[in-house]
Amino acid sequence: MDGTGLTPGRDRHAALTNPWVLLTVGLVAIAAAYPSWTDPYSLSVVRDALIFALLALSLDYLWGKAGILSFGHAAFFGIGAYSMAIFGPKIDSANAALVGLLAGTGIAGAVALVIGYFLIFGGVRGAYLTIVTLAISLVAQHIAIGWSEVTGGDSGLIGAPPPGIEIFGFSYVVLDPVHQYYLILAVTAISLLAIWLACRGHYGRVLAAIQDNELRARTLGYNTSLHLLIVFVVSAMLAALAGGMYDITSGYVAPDLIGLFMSTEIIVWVAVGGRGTLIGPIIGAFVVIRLQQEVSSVSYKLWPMFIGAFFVAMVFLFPNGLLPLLRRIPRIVAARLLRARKTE
Amino acid sequence: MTGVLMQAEDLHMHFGGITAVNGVSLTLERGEIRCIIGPNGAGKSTLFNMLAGTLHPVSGTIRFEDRDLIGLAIHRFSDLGIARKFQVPSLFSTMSVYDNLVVARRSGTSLRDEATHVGGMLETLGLIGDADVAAAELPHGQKQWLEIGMALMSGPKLLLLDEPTAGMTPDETRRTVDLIASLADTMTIVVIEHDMNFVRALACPTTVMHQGQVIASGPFSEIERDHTVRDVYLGRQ
Repeated sequence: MDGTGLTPGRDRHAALTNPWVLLTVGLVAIAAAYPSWTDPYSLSVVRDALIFALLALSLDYLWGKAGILSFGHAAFFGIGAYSMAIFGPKIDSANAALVGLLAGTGIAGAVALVIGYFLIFGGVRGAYLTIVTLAISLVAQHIAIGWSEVTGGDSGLIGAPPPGIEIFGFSYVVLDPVHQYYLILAVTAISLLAIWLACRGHYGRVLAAIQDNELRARTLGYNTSLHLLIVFVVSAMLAALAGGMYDITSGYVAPDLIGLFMSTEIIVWVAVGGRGTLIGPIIGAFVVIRLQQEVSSVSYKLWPMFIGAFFVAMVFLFPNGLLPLLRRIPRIVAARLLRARKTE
Repeated sequence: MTGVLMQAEDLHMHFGGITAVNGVSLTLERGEIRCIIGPNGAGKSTLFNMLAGTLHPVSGTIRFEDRDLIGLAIHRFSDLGIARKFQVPSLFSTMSVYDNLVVARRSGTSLRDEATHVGGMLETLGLIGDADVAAAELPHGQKQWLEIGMALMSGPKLLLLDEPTAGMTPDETRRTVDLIASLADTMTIVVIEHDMNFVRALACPTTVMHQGQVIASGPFSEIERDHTVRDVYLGRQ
């Protein structure tokens, strides 16, 4: 403490006792122990959910932390998945998946850089920016269907190399599904940790400030367009990383992964979990995917209608998502208990 | 601390067919406090927006320490040492008072340094007890102070204050006068104000604008007696 009574770095100390940090650590621990008691099918379902959770995390970084709602995130996911399916099988080495991931994240980053530069530095913001990102998904899906000699058209592409590494004569390929599961868990957890660490200090405050009042942030000396562009590019690269891993584990990629419906689903995962909370969208992805399985087991055609109705209901009932709702529950319970005691 | 800090010459600004600023020139000396007064629609805030880089003039030049400011991106103005307070308090409303000042500070060597610097400003502003309060929840007068504090966090050479006492109580206005007076000689301050008691208390050189032009300039005691100024703005007693 200094003379002003303010504790240096008080937010950092608070972060260590933050219940959501403890919740996250607990969830990662459960996910790490999960293979020890589950069957291979359930493991593959959770593995895919982890990949979609990474995708949700990438959008939360963009939407929750920087305030840019994008309907184009499926396009970047698709770029990652298609790049893996196109480039990966061409490499005859244990590094094939690595090359596919690098190509996917690189292409997605370059596309996001070009599109983002013209949009963000052109001053396009808010709903206008969101509408343009809608077009990104539509154009990407049309390319995926129309450029059939490369993308396989409507049928998509089958086949992807297993993850692995080959360096200085040392070679290791991850073939075991359980090991692949741990690899994906590690990538998702590290991505979550990296974004959380980056956003909890000064950088997080700057992004929050830009989201709150961009002109004020600019007059204080922040190059807000550059900040937003960097977030847009990194977020797109994270989405492509998820796409590449999806192709590695599922072994196929098709145009429905890249379109508007997929983009909407990502937004629903983030909105349901609670945007800006980082762990919320990950939980949201798991909850919605579980719901999808239940609804689709009744009728596959029901799901698009259900997710639309579910999204509208969430917006009306819990506009801030599940995690902020959980945060309020202890206070609501305490208030009701107090009221009950008073009436006694 | 003497010499010219900023020189604006023959500034023009139009919005559609309306001329907001018409050939305004302004020279600011280092360490001076200057008040700009005039009726609503006189072009004061438009002039401020041009000096702060929020608007680019249609024609004219603005030089700051021998550097041409025309066309410079807004975020570069802060690097040069130009800070501003908007007419309507412009804060990061969802963030705490403390975080508003931390963001305004931009850089720091350590967390202890940050706490010391921000804590010092909170004490200066009388907001030490409100460090964790969301900026949106502050009373209007304290919002004005917070924004002045944010502008001061970067240690500017030129501070532009657009109606800093609007909505303040007389006591808050007096404290704002004291704060601004205490900053004299450490930086150049330009204040747009409608409160003549505030301008009188500062007793600083005053520029009067009317219909986009400067119609008078000089010590406030002379401005108060100027017939043209009294006709268009102050009114005859």
